[in-house]
Amino acid sequence: MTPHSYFRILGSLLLGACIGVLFHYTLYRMGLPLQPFIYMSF
Amino acid sequence: MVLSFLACCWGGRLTTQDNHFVHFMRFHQALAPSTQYFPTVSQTRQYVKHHAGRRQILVIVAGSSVLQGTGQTEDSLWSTRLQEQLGDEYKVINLAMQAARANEVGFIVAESLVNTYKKMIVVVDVGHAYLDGTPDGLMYKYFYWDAWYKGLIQPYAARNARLQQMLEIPVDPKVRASSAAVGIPETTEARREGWLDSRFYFNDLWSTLAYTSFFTVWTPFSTSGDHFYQPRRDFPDRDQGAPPMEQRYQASRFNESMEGIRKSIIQGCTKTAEGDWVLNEDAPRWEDMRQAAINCFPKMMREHTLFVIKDYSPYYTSRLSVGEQRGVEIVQNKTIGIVEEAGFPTVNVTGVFGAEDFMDGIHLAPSGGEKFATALSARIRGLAKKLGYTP
Repeated sequence: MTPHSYFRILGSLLLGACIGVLFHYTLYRMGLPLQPFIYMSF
Repeated sequence: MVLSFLACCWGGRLTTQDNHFVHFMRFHQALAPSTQYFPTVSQTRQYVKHHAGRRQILVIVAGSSVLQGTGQTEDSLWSTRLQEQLGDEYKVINLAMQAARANEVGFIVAESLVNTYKKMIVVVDVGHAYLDGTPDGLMYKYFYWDAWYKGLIQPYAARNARLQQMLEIPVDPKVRASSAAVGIPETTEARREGWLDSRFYFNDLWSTLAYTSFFTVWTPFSTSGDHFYQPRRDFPDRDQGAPPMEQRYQASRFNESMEGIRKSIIQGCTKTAEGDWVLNEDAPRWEDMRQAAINCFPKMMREHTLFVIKDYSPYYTSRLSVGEQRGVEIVQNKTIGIVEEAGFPTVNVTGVFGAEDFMDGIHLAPSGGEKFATALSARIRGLAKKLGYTP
């Protein structure tokens, strides 16, 4: 294993972790309305 | 990738086990879906469990902006006055939300805690003397389905049947479009989201981070002084309270406000040839309300869910004809009758307010909040006694 390989593995792990978090966050964002309702009092 | 996703799910699940709210007085604007912050059932439950002792009589204020205290600053909030009047034996927690119906948000939290707190009273209001019949709520359906899929509320046959019936009726595209225009979510979407969230806990995780650490969504509201990415914990309650008397009751809204009152009379009464308004027993409104009271509120919750029926501002009602004023009274009395018939206790807080006690047609100014708290504290004490909570 060369240092280059270590960096590649580490990079892949970090990228994978970011994609996993992003996917989780996307699920949250998908539930938010594009335009929240504006509350109007009587 | 999979591991980090699972770690997020696990983190989300962990957030459901602790209280994150600090200095929480009510769901003010920065803590509400109207500014893209969607509190979850688990977060709210944890707040209640953290602050209310099991031996105290838990008073959960649910319902709409009237009970949320729109028109009162944090310092002059009516529910704080109520807490002061009831004393330490009781714990008052205000979970009302702007535009929420009686069976939404706060009520769902109360239902989810009914087996934890043996002494509980829920306070809800009837907006425009009308009870909405949508079992999963109107504006905050996500809250119901969040609780449902996490197993936090009890199955209730009549509610389930009504929901099933509503899902089977195809929605008119025009109704769908007009609902979408004012931001009313669809049940199927809210249901799907609730199901997914019960598996992956994304709402719990990101809402908790939104409150404690950073917010990720820009909203028009975020421009008023703070940075949108600041955690919602740092946003103050910006309700300025009621403006000076001369700035209340804007002329531009006069007709709209009067129409709102007249509409409720027309829907429940009939006009006689002499111009008087008399009760119309056959009006669909009453049967709708009867069904709503039965379908939206489980039986086990009814005897300790206190319905508040309150006046409109006399600024408007005094400008109605005598016949119309009688109509308002008839509608209020009939509403009380239907709610009581379904097994709920009620409190009729009418005739105690002046125009100066309101901020607008329905929301109370601080002086009105004081009177409201006084009227309610007496009724809550009476109900607590009746339920055997106090000797």
